[in-house]
Amino acid sequence: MKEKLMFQNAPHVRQSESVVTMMADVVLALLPIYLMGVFYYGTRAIFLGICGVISCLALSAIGSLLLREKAVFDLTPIITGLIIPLLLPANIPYYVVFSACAVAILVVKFPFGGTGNNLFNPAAVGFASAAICWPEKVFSYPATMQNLEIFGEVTAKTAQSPAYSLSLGAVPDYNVLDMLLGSAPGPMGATNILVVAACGIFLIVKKAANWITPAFFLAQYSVLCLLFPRIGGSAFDALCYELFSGMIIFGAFFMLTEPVTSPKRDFGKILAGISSAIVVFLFRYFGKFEMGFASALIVMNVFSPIFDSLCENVLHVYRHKDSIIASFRKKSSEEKAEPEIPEESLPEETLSEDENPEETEEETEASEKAEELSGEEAAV
Amino acid sequence: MNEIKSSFKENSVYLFSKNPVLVLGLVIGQLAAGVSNLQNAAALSITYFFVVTGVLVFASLVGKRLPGWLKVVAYAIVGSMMLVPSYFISAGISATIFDSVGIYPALLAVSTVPIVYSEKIAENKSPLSALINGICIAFGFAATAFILGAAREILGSGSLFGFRLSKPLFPAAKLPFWGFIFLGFMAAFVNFIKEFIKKPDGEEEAE
Amino acid sequence: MTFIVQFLSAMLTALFIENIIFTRALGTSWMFYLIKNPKELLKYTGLLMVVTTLSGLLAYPLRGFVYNSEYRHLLLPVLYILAMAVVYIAVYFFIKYALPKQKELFGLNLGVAVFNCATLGGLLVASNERLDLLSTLGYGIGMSLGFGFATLLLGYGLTRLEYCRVPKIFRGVPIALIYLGLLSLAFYGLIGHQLPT
Repeated sequence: MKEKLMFQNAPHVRQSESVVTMMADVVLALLPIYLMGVFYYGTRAIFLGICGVISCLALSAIGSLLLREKAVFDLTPIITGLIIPLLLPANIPYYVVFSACAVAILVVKFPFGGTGNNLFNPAAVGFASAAICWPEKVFSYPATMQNLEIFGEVTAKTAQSPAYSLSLGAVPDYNVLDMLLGSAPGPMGATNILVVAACGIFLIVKKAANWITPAFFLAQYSVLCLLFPRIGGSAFDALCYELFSGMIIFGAFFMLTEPVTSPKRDFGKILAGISSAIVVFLFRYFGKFEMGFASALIVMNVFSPIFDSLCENVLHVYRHKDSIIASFRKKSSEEKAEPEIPEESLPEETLSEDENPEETEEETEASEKAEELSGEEAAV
Repeated sequence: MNEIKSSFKENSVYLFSKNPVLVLGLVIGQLAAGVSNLQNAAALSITYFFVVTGVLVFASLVGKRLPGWLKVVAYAIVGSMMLVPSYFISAGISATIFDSVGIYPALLAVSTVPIVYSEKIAENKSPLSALINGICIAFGFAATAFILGAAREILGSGSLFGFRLSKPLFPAAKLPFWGFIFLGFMAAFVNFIKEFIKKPDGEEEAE
Repeated sequence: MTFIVQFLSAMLTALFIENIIFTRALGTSWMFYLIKNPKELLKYTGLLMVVTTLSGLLAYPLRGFVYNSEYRHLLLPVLYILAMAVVYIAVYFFIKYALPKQKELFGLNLGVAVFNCATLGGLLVASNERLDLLSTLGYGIGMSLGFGFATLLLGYGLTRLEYCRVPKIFRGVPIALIYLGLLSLAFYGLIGHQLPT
């Protein structure tokens, strides 16, 4: 039996690629983003990534040890360890990265059963936790083209991020081209829009991520930004600023498409993309933190299975619509037919119904007595 | 004396294996949101002690004589009356204790044990047994509150009972959501210990 | 129009931004019970709404005397509990004589719907924030709806947890608390500041 049955963690993919190759593709896609981080901030970017990866691997091993489970090596801790530093500024202390990884692995992953069983995106929760703990460090971004110190205190010139400017209703100090090329300050991995988008498209082509959720997310978010711009001037510029600031593009390709927490059905993915855009919009516009994407994603993780079950119910109704309509018609015709039966030829069921009122009265009396005796205990 | 000993032995389960917070899942909110340091833990523990023991003793004395619909009202009013002594004792902890701990002590008067379970626990017991029962439940609550308060204060403020020890290591530890997560891990630890001390043949060792 | 906006604003604040479960963790014990008995959720939420509204109305004229007292931390809860007791007695006899067929509302459900941390907590928060009568009523209704919303959300998540391979020591209360904490973390990202206790 053991040889015939195969047991795997989610996602259960049916394609030539395996889960390992999917994860390897994600790791490959993150590497160019790190290279851009090195270009703008120096080798500290690489060391932050290494810190994240080592933290996540070590904590995964510790978690397996504590739960007395056999440690299964997969690439998910590496992916989490690579994503978390990219959401943080390049001058972030290493202990903040470690803390975020600890939350991601020990709180979000292991208590729920490990790889494939997490209900929330680990990187999003780790980042949100770090942002709440140390907001003055997480939302303080160094200006680009600085070679930051690898160890020790980082003396970097900081600058206001475009997302913060937008939250104040001000036009950012950088033009759209700067933001496309990553010259604007922001999270280490989320500002190089061209590179991030290219890596995201690579994931989609390699089928390591689906195209539906990011496409509908970006489309819906763009519509909302056009309808409710936070800054004046050209609508196109306002849209570009909203899309290219914060972690919208990075989150759309690398976080929304996380296979464990995102919906599995195509229609569910559409719903997830659209509703994620609405929630992210609300969090960014009305939330306290300039980076509401992570919090919005955590909320949307709760609704992912709801979208799937909604999709399945809709599909069920669509596939069986003929039989559902037929049964509905049959029921309504039976209800209409009942009053035409003459009294003389009443079937036996109606005779037995006459006996029921006595039984019903006895039953209600018994239930009343039982309720009086048991009282609250029954409810408790 | 024997009755007291046997009653304590019987109710000692509330300290660990039937801890009202970590095992039975009661009074979670007050701990998660209200206990962010040891002073708050002390204030809440004192309040819970008075409320639970007072209501349970009242239930054992008078509960059976009251009609069903009036019991809940009586227990809630007695619980609120027990806030009075706890208020004055808690005020001795710190001048600003009520600004720190907020509305949470008052909510203990309408928590699950006094309102829902006092009838079941105490009505058929002697006042002494009910008192001991209440003491044990309150001690179980207090143990959890103190451990949680100490951990959150050390991590979140770098202090213990107001005395500074170090820099805060994890400032978010004081916030309610970390209260839930800490309590979850504490409850898991209790389960771990219970599994660890289980006999090989499946019987649980007596507490 | 201003009154409607004020009412709705207080209601939506209590429903989402200051959700009684996610931000203040009140009523969690009864929430776990209702998750196991979802059919009672609607009934309980409705009762909660009625009771909070009536208790708020009853205690509002009296709380002005208590605000400036040195012992307001003690007197306000006692005042509200007495108001809730009056509401409970009134609702009980109303159901008994006006709606005798609604027997399932007797017993534990009515008692818990009246005397619980969510009701008292909502009233205390509204009084601490010095909300006027309309805002207090809106806050109470929003708080009740927020309780139902949080219970539904958490119930769905806990149902989904049954398909996860949760380690043995985390099953039951531990994982439910961790799940609730993570949801609470998400809502904190919206408000981003320490709520007044």
